[in-house]
Amino acid sequence: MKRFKRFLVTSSLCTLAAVVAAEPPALPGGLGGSPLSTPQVQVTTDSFWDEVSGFAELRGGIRLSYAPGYGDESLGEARVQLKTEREVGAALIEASVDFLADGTTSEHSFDWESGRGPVDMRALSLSFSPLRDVDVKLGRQVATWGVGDLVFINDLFAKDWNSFLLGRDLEYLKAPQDSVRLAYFNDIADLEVIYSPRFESDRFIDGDRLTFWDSMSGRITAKAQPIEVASPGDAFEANELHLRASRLQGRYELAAYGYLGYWKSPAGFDQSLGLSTFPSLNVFGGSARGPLGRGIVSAEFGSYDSKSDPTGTEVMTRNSELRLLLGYEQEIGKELTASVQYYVERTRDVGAAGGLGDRDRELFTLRLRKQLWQQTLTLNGFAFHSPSQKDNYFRLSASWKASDAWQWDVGANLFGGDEPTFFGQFQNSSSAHLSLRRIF
Amino acid sequence: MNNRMKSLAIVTLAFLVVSASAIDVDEIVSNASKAAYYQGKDGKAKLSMTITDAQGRERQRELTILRRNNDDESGDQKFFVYFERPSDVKGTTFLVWKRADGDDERWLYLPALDLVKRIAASDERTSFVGAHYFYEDVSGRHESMDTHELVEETVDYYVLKSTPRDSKLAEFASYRSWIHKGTFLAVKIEYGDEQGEVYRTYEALDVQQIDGYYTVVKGRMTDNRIGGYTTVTNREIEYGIGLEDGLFDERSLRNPPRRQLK
Repeated sequence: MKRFKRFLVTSSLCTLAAVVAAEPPALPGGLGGSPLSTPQVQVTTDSFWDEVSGFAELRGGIRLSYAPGYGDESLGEARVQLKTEREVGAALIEASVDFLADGTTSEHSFDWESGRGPVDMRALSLSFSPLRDVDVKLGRQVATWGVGDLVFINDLFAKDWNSFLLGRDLEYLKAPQDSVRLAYFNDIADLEVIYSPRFESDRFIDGDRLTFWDSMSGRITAKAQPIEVASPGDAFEANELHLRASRLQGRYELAAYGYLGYWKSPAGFDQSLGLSTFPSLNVFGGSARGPLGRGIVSAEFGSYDSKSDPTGTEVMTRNSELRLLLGYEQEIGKELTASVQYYVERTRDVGAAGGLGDRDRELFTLRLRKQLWQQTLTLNGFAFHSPSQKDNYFRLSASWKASDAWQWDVGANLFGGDEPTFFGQFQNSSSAHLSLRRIF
Repeated sequence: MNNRMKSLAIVTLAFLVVSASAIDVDEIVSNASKAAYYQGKDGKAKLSMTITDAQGRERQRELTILRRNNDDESGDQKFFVYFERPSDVKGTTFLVWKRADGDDERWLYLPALDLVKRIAASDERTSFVGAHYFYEDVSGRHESMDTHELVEETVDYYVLKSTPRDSKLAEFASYRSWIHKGTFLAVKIEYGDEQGEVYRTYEALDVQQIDGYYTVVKGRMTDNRIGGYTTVTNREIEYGIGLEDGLFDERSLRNPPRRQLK
């Protein structure tokens, strides 16, 4: 009996010990316990200003090399972006506008299309679904498609190369277009049409902020002679049409693309006018994207048909091209993603116009993206290297969200290579920048 | 043997008997998973997250999650996430097709660029939007990734110890969960390291019965390794609202289903 008693005591003690070691949690409110006293979060979006969001930003940049005729500052600007959206019945109105005070330019006149001057209307659109399977978006808007990472083949929507290369936020790479977007969703393939009644060029490198290699004069442009262009025509006369058909096949996204319009950056020269031109361009292409192993593989091709130069013999017009891209992205470490791309741009009729240059421009890209400090610090390194042209471009950035309201960005755009090469022509424009943003 | 001893012995024996036979551990795990991630055919919740870092600084996240269980009984699900705050990510959308076999599909849409990005498979045990919660805590950890053991039974809880089948795929050595007997909701989960030290704790702070389902409306995740904690409050929870499968598609990334998100 004594032994039995001892056993009982021991076993009860063991049970007690187990209970003490892992104290069961108190029941939460709703299961018999009382809830921790914190009031329910109330989100009110009543006043006008609660419906407006955006940021105010100061951004400065310096050139890292001497460019004759250009100042040392590559960027020196204060920007305020205001954004809002309103539901009007079943439709949605979206508006986004930037106010910019640019200290590095003396040109302050407003231009709706190029976004130059103190006001840049980024978006002003009306969206609605007139039919169950149809979406319509009318007005000023940004559009993006294709599978490349900072390499574009079938995405022929306007881009702002100045903002991209000068070191503004990546959002500014895409320039808005005044257009109609129509999408029809169905089981076979989703169809999308984007029509801009007036051709809208890229916000291209014109020598005003960034120097470039002018093949006409055979030298790097100077600040004093920025490139001048002739528009291909007025609204409805010179327009552009973008098409896409896409479907998900198993785990792979397949898409076919079409574009009827003009080269988005100057690709011709009118000797009688002495102006650069945007020759006609049609593009047809396709893409595929989906999982492979632990990562995502993507492929895209496009056939560029330079309509004004069908045989490639026009000296003053850019040749037709074939473009191909292969990419792969994978997470390779904790919050660390790597992506590699191979891109080739083949000139169709190289030599037909007696030109020099390579038949193929090949490009490798490598991106590394790392997040730290509970995802408040993002480091990005993007390298472009062309083995055929032997030129390079490094895009480096660090973005730190000090709080929900304050964000610091620091970065650099570094170019290397011989002057006539794609990236080498910007070597005088290598720069570093810093910005502070107040988000509201 | 006095009476007190007797009663203690009876309680102890009763306890041993109950813990040995009452319910199968796999059934507990399966019910707990259902209670946490699969209630109703579909559901909606608005999440307010407050991320408090080791220095006590706070960040806010507000997002709406739509969920739909696939029609087959595979356990596959689709999630659509709409980010409301902070304001610089407003309009960002995220689509996940969660597959029970682990091959999830994910897309992220960035409205400023109108960019639909396909997201590569990633470690599920990385932070969700910078919070102390992991992706896995939000969408559920596959039951088969761990072996589960019923280590204790209290008046209110089944206490489980779960150990990863592949220790390389998890940063914890094991975790202990207190599953509420009546509702199968996990009221507390403690993640321990090799030394048995608890470094990460989930707590359900408030539960409500919504549309007949017991639901955690307030929870907290504390992580001693990075410091600080995240509190999540769920509002406007609804179940069985008739979300269609076609809503969880690329179309919704660009043009979020505003009616269903309200």
